[in-house]
Amino acid sequence: MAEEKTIKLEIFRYNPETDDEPYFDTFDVPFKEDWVVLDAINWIKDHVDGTISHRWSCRMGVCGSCGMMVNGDPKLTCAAFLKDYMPGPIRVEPLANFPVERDLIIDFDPFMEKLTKVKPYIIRKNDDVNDPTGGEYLQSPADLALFKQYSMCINCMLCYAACPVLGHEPSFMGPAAIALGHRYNLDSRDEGTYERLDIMTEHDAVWGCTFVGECSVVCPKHVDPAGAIQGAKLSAALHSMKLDIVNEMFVFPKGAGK
Amino acid sequence: MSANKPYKKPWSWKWFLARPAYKRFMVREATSVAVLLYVCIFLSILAKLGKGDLAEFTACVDALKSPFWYLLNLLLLGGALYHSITWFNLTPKALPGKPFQFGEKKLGPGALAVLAGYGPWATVSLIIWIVWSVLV
Repeated sequence: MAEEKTIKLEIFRYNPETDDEPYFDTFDVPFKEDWVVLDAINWIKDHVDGTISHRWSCRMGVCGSCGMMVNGDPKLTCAAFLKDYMPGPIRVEPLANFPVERDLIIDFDPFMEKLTKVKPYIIRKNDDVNDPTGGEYLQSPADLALFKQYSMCINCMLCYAACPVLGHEPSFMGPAAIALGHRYNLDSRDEGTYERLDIMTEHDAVWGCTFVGECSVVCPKHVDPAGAIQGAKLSAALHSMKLDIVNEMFVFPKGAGK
Repeated sequence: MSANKPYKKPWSWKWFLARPAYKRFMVREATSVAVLLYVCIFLSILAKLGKGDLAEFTACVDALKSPFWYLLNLLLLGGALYHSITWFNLTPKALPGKPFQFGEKKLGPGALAVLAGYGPWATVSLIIWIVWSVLV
């Protein structure tokens, strides 16, 4: 019988209770054509070392839980096939630019705080968005097309791991949060653009971006956060020059009613 | 027992070596120096012409014909071209979607780069070339 093909995985290990510095553990994992890196980590946890800690859930690129650095690239490990890394080894690390709680688990509290900061919900000046009387706010397919791409984010944080500005300045608002704010600014049903722009132009927000562009390259959902940030910069610049009329004519549609 | 002792990877000044795209970004930013140097050379020659001393201006233009200045100008041209082209290619991301959206269809990045970058560049270059041909 032919010997089973294997591939080496080097896994980042860090236990805050016993370690001062991280190290790597190497495991031989059976190679299967249809296995992804997440399958390999789960196999190690089930068969070799149950102490490995990692996050995962849906295994189909929707939940955004299993983001890790695979050979230095931010990847959803449920979509990173072992066959693409043959003959190996594959080095798996926690997402870069985040504090590591344990092994492959990062602390994403700072990310969640940034997301909530941009007021990612529809703001209306005079009516209550939670009041269903009078029906829904009407929006044309063309107005939806303007921001739909930016609403596809699954909060996997790969863009944060790819952003060198965040590595240097952890307080930088970051790609996903700015893209989310911009998504609501472009929404014709929303009336909170200018209060959101005030937040998005604070220190460490849109102007912190140096346009490296890797956030858009690694995004598994093709959200293009780099494009959103540049768009946000444009509307912020027009707003600061008191040219909101240009914003409303050319950047975002407003005024959707019921 | 839990231990709240998150590990933070130290920041390294060699960060840009981590990914090829970071290196390309650094080259893109560094080539802005080529644009700056060329503008300095160009303005200093114009200043001499502005003073009205034609002899000094001609001497300056003659000096620029030496191999050193040829080589330097060639390097600066290469840097400026790289800088311009990489920025033209990024321009579509900075453009607002609304004016370039027709119904639900949006113009692609290639068309936007031509519209906002390469097109105006070619047009201005053509005008300068025509004016130059007529005047000189």
